[in-house]
Amino acid sequence: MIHLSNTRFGDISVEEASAITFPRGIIGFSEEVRFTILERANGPVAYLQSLKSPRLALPIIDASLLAPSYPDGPREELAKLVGIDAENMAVLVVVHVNPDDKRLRANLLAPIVVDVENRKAWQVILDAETYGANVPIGDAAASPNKTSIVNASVATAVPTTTITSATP
Amino acid sequence: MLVVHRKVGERIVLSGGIEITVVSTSRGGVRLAVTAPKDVVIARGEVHDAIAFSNAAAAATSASLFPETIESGAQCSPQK
Repeated sequence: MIHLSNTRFGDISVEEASAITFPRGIIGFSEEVRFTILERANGPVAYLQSLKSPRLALPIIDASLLAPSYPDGPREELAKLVGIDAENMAVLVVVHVNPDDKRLRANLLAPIVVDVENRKAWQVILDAETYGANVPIGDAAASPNKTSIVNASVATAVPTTTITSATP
Repeated sequence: MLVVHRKVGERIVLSGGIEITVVSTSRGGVRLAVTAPKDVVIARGEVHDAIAFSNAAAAATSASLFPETIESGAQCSPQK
């Protein structure tokens, strides 16, 4: 078991087998190479919890909840970017709450590609002309980037009431 | 930091299987070709910075997102 004290969620213990290795770290956090996924009791937002820095946790959403077609193109293309088998691939998207407007935003420019079989993952960079790093989800009209992937299912998966209550 | 003069067609080699070749130059600009192992992140500086900023924003706001509802010690495998 891995014990983590004083995380954002208190003291927690996770199985060694739940660790996911990021050989290249997370962009901007290149020293952070081991994480685990903490799931909430309900709702689509989970957390990518660092196993090195207890205070570091990034909220994530399964990309298929945003839109089945994200990102555009065959899954094999995405898997090929990091040299893994598309059969074993899961795609996660990092989200954050914009401190100014309190809206949930997704980093569609740099999804996290997970090799579920080998428990390795990479944050890959897609085409910056197509995808934004701070795309509001649930309100397509306000997004300057790639609005078409935000569909009606987002409102179901991420209830607006829950998001607007997420104030510090 | 290494500052080095290169001509078109010449390379810089970094450890880890990374090579940068000068493809062409134009007024005020230079075209580079980068080869690296598949899992090495290659990005324009401003794109990299935007992603790092977004990740930092995620790290900074996670505490305020549904803070009390995490399942204690819960963990899972990502689903396919």
